[in-house]
Amino acid sequence: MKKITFPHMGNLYIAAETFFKELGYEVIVPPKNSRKTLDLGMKYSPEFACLPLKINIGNFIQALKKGADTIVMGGGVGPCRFGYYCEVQKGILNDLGYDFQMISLEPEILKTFNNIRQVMGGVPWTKIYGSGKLAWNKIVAIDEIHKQVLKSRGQEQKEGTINEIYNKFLERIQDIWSIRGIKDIKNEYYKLIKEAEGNYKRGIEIKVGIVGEIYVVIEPFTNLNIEQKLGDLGVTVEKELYISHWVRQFLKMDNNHKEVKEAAAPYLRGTVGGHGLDSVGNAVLYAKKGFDGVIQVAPFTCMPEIVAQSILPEVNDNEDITVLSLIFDEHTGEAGLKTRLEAFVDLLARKKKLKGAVSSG
Amino acid sequence: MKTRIGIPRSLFYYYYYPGLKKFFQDLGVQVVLSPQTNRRIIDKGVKKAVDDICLPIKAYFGHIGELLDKVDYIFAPRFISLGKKNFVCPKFMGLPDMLRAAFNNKNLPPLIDPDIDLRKGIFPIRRIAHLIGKRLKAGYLRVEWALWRAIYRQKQFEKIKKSGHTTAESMKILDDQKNIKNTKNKSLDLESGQNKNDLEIAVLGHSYLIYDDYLSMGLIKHLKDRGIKILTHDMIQNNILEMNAVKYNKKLFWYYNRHILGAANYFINAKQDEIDGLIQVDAFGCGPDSIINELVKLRCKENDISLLNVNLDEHTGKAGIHTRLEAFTDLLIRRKSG
Repeated sequence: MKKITFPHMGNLYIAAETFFKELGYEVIVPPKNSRKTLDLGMKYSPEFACLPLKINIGNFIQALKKGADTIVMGGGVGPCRFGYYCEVQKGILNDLGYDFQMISLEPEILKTFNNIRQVMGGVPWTKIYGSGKLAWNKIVAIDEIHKQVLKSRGQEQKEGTINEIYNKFLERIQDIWSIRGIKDIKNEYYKLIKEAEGNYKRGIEIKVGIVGEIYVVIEPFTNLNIEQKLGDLGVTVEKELYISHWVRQFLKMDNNHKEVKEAAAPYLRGTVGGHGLDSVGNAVLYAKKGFDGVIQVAPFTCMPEIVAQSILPEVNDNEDITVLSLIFDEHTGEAGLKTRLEAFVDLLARKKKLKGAVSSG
Repeated sequence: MKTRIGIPRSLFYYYYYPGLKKFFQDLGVQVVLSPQTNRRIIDKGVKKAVDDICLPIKAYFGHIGELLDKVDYIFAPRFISLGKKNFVCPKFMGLPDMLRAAFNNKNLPPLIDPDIDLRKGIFPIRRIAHLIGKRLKAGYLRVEWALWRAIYRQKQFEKIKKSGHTTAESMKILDDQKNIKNTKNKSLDLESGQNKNDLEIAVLGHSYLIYDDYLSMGLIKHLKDRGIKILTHDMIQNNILEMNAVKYNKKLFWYYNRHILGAANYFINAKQDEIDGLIQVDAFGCGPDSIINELVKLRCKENDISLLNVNLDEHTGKAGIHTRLEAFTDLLIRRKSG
């Protein structure tokens, strides 16, 4: 019996666990990302590799120690480094003496199917389809609730209530095994979140969009939970990058990419790999939608995001939006981030009030 | 007065300059080259570029800064892909856009920034050439003529490189037309005359890094002065590089890095007995290198090959690098003599 494991990325583990468990495999979810995971990863990864690779290595080592023997990992054909992670990680872990099988999912559908077959062995296609559908529904439901949480956190009646609701939701959805049940629980918690809403903490609505590298955007451990920090400051947060979005892009089913591309065109002519183009395009779109600010988050030395980071000041100058770029690495400190966010939000609030005064007076 | 086009002595210069120069000259344009990299250029680049970006791109920004008021156009192509199923580093894909953002649009002379995307074959080169020709107001036939002469020139350049010369040497030989015929016989003998200690070291790294004397702290020159024979990836036939790159791993998608990985695999596996050691040169913040170097490191460990990793940034001191190189070569000599 294969014991399957996979890297952490936000709430991905809920869907992945569902998928493989439904197929009848044993799943070993690596312990939640922690300082220990990062330390393990840092110790064995190349120094200048990007943060996600290091955390992945940490995840894998912790999972392999717990007895996993098959790693499922995303692949790619460039030009972002992520596409070659699996190869390097395999090398590093083999060098450490671990014995395992690594399966990389390539963004070519035929190859992916072949790879899935390789893991599944004799499991019939209908079953794969069924469990895939269940996992997909779960992840979409989680992302929808997450989206609402980001919107409502800035206007909760009592601090911490929405977080409580959200955590409870995540806990409960793990044990639901029917599409019907997923729908019900989603509606139930959607209502609960709406009920917890009250007035804006700052008196006015400040809207901030988060763009950047997908792993850092999605994984709260790497971005020091920036969404919650912003929410606590009374900010309405929006982002485009969710796991469901990533899966859609991975399978080339992304529909609104054209819009993003067109928005970015005056600043960046074409794709630069990863989500560099999305960062620029979404920043422009947020400006057009009347957002007050955009925060770009990226790991240190991330290539596509460096291109976006070079270009975002131009967006800041030409569009009506304020951009802040935050680079995260293994040394980023909590207090420093908090201070910067507070200053940024204060600036946005002041700007908005001034603007209101000018237009009304 | 002739139209002046500026070419930064950085990045793609080290791969395509001979061909580009021929092309623009035949179009009747004056080519202006930025000076050799120096402290002033690096300082300019550091000021203009984002902090975290890699050293060669900072140097590139500096070179563009040098050219600003000396030229009418700047040639700054947007590289996307140089062959089927491959890409270049993402930073290359955003070069002209990053330049526009860094230098205020008004200060920057018009950029000639064609998209170089050869994923569907090499034919787009002709279309790109005609696009450039149109911008520079050259006639159709003139562009055709210039293109073929440029390709011929570039091929000669490649040939000289593959016969065992470094890029700088090859450019010199190419400029000295008479030499071209003699290179075949001479080939590697050029250096072997002064080969004092029979050491043969493979230097792995991007051409724009190892051949830039300032960025690499004169690494190649230093080794040559000590009488060491040097091998680099661009002295090996491309098909051997490609073959060796895919032999052991999943196909790497960065064009230049695939060649470097191919060279590393070739040196480690096929030429194990001839090579005494490997020197890996990479720049601070280089994404692809951080991944490749780990693989090369692991493979060297398996095959018991000496490896020196040199990481360069804008603060690297010459003395420190040279001490490390000397220690490494001394070690290799001791190892060789048993």
